[in-house]
Amino acid sequence: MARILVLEDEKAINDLVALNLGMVGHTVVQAFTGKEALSIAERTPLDLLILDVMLPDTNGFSVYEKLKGTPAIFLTALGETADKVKGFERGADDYIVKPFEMTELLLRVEAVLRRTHKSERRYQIDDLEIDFEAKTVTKGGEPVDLTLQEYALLEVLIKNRNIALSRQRLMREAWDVSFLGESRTIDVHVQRLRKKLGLDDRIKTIYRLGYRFEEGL
Amino acid sequence: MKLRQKSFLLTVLLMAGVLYISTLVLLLSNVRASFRSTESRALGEEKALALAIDGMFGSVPEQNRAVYARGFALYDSGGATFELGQGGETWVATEPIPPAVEPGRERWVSQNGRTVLAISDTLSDGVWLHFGLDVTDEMHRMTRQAIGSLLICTLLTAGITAALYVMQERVNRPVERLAHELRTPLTVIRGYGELLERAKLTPEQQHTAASYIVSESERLGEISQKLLTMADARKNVFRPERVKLAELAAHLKATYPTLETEIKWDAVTADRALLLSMLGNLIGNAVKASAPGAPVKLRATPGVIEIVDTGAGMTPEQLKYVNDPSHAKNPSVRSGLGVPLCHEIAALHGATLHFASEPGKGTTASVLFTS
Repeated sequence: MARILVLEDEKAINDLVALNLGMVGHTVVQAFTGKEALSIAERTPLDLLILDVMLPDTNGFSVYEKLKGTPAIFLTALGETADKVKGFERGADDYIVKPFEMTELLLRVEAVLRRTHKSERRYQIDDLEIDFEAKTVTKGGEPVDLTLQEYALLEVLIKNRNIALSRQRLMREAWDVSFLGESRTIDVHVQRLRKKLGLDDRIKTIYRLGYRFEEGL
Repeated sequence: MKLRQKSFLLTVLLMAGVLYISTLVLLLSNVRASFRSTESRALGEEKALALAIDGMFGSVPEQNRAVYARGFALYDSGGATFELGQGGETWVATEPIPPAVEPGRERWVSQNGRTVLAISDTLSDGVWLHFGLDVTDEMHRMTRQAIGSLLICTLLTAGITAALYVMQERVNRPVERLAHELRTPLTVIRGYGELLERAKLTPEQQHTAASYIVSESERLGEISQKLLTMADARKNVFRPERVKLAELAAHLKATYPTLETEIKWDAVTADRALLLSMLGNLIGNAVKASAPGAPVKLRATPGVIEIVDTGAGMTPEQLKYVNDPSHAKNPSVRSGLGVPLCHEIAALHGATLHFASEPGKGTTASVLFTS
């Protein structure tokens, strides 16, 4: 679980990003001005910055410069191509264009965290423990044998917990395949996961959407 | 680079090119004419002198010529000098002695930091004449003229570029700003919609998400309204008429119940719909800034319409933005409802819109009609 600073002056968007990141288990600190962000960064260690480019008192780039060393994802507005290029030149880790899809943002966050080795190492729920580094799953202390496909699916579901993912998305993220049609294969694997790990209550089928791993029952 | 910037740059380059080339052509022909006239003046002077010398020598015995020639030492004609002699012998010369050049070929020669137009001539019986006209002043005049023309040309280019820039900004800025303003509501609506659809939310979270969607949809509505009015204003749908202010005030009071009116101006010449839209916008902002139920005053005195509130007031940055929205680069300074539009409507009426404000004390918006 990473500590993430969200710097965005629009409260609605800031809350939205914070809510989403909080949902999948990150600790989020919200800042609405560059000054606020810098004073927060002084007090608390941060694993990732999510920075709006246009801010009332400064811009995201200069905040990034001042907090050199902390990876960052920039939120840029549509059409600000110049900003994009600038962001990359200065070594931004990623950028995302407004209006953006929340699942897309979560994906980028996870990718950056994985690159910087700040992503979640283990996850525990009920009598289940998943070690994301060793890629092993134990239930009640006993190792559970999962196929590679099952494990990858479980990992994506947990990393995006509390948020429903479509079958297409699951296939793409877990197995790196993106074709339309036979996404029912996901159903089969979800069934097996539920059975092997006793996750009937945790992995919920969301009507017309896909699946959601639920943390709170 | 954006297409707009590209086309702007191209226009400026083209304009500058045409301006500079035409100036240079004009300048060249001017300089040429100047040279010609100077040369013909020098040639005329030299011919006159040569004729005078020849004419006199015709009636003077050859051995006396040197003595007579000295009489020409008094010759003076607008900065011209000469040297007269026969064979290797110099009879007379005036200072500064002009340089000898090939006969029949006038030359521009530089001599002791001055420029001299030199002409050499051979008269009868081997008598020679070197003639020189000081043209330094003419040269300076021409140089000054060239520098002056190029300077004017540069100033003109700069002026036209600035005017063009201001014009294109005036057309594009408000539209760009609105396009920019669209992004936040779009992001928010989409994001919270997704969240409602996909995430398991607590009832409070659901409520927050829904209310954000509702308020941002309202914002979209406002933006589309602004775009429509702006399009109207741009199309010059501008129908001025005599608008009775008391009547207008009554109309506004019906929409804004906390409005207090004080009308001491009978009627203004304005587009009724646009004026109503501007005042509505300003009053709406004032009401929003005020405590619920607090009065907002609409005051009209000849030439001035003011909207006064005792609400939250504005910070200096906000004030700077609302007074000149076209120059604020940062669109995240929230303007409330359509301030750029209000400025535009005021400008259409030949009026100016000005805000005065103090945080915690309230804001006064004044529309000053100049004509």
